[in-house]
Amino acid sequence: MATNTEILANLRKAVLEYEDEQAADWAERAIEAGISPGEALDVLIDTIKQIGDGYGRGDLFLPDLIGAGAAMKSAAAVLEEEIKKETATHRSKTLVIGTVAGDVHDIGKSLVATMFIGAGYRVIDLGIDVPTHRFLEAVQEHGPDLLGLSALLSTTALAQEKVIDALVESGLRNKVKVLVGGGAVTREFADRIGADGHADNASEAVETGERLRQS
Amino acid sequence: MPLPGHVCNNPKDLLTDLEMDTIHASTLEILGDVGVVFGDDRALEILKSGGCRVEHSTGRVRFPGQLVEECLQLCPSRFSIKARNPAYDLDVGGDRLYFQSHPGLYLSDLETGERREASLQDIGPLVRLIDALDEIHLAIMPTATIAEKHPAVMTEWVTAEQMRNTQKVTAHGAFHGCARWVVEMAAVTEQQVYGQINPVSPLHYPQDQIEGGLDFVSAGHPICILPGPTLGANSPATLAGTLVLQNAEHLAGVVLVQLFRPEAPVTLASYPHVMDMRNGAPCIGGVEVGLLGAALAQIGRRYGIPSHPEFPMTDSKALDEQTAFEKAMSLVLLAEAGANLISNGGALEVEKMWSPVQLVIDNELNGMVARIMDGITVDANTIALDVIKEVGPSGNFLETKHTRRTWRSEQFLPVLADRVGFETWKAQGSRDITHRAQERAMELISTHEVPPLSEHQDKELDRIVKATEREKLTL
Repeated sequence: MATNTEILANLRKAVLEYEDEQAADWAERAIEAGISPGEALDVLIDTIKQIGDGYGRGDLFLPDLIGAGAAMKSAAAVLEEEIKKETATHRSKTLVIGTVAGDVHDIGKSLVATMFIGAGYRVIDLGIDVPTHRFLEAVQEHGPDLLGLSALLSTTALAQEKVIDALVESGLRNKVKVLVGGGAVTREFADRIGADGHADNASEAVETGERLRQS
Repeated sequence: MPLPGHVCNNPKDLLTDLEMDTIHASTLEILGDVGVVFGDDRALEILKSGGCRVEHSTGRVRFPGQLVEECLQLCPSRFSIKARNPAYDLDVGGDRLYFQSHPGLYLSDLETGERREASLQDIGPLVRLIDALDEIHLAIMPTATIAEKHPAVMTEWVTAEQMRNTQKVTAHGAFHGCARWVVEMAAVTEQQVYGQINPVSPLHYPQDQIEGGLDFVSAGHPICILPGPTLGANSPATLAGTLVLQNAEHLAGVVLVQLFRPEAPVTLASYPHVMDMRNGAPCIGGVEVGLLGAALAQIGRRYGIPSHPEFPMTDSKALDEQTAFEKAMSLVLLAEAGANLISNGGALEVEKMWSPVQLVIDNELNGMVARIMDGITVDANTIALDVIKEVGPSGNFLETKHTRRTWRSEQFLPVLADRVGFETWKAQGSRDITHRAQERAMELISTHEVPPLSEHQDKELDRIVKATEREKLTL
């Protein structure tokens, strides 16, 4: 029988080795062994931070971040089921993110989502071609610190403005900081549509997001 | 008489025959097993009636190998493009090379270098500059965005200015439903254009691209089939895997176009990026991109379809050494591989910033590469045995008729490269090439004239652009 320490060490190892299934397995075993899901989640967050630091130093790269992020997501999904039974939310920082209506570009947005996981955020990824009302519902349901809107083309970027306008109309605008990005989205465009921040790439997105969250 | 361009006598093969066979076979396997998604019902009908297996619910199309081979045979290996002025007509394919300018998003201001949005009045002079340069044979829009216009109609506004300010063949994308309007503008200005269809990697042709691409084809304009995979993101991280994926996207497009209009002229184009695994940015200055372009040229030669790597480009934001070496390295690879069209003219920051100063430098780079392609001519005249015998030991070749007659065709004469002595250079202000290029750009813009369109054609372009606005902006 593995001890609690061994279980948590194996959970960490699974994430460090980018093994999704093993990570989920060890998360299950942690629950079965009576380890509090919060404690296991803390191990995951700490591991991701370790990966994030390695990335920051230039020792690890995006595929490593994504691999670790995926493993963490698998394990966290198992633990969060348990946590839902106990408390409302565990982590203090949340990002809701999606690619706006009419746009199906996914890679940049998913990269940003992964980077935020790496920075210790709980991330709700709404996917692609997300209608405006779904963003609003997600803001209402999850009360995130940040809302990330992604759009690749200059035409679909116009939907970012629609989301911001809808937030204003429904009185939700000052409950969340809005971060926009994507191929044709510039600082000028972001300012024009009333976004709180803009980033050119995934690592800048986290920097800007953290700044906005703390402001 | 078409523009001569340049000739590649001995294209270099990067890959062996066996490697090429493997790539082709793997492509057919992808096309047969995985297929390609087409987001347009008309395309699905065309492909189905040609013998493909079509899943209407998902838009997934699987291609029988035999059909692919037949459609490859239908592609012309050589075709002409009719310019506004016959002196600028093009003869695309075979061993011929032409250079196209780069597109951009923002403008690097000619005077200050500041990165800014272009305005409509910037476009005309910039296109005239492209018209003035000998080593640019096709003109694509210098900036895709202009400050005063709505994004949905920017393309049409810029296209009208393009057609007014150059007699060279103009190239166009199929974004924002612009193709049918560009086709109309081409008709009133009595020229062909070089259009585009852009699949999205991996393995997907979106509706607007299909519609636009077929708009160009049905009106008799050649198009490039232009995938833009990013290695490690939407294509395999390996170059060979990307070649296979890209080739599948190419051949799927070939089949669609040839079933739609047999023997329609197409080129196999690409603008691949590598994903920088440090910051996630798609980057295009690396030599991997040059290698992929060289392989594309070889694939084009194998299939007998003209090739068009739409680069080299740079990731640099400045007119600096990085720009120079990134472009030069890939440019040589592409030209020596026998590409038929190469895009090099003006781009910085991948294709986000367009610089008229860089355009002038790129024009010179193109000229240098063309000289590389000319190689060394070895014949009785160039070996010059008689001359060497006559001049003899310690003699002087500068005085000979032979030197007088031959030096000009043996040397590329740079306009921008600095060759004066140090003291002269210092006295002239110790300037580097960017200053000289800026001066040259300004001089050409102020002196180069392009015969205007007729009044009727000019009014028609206005009418078409306004019609675009009415249709697109009132919906």
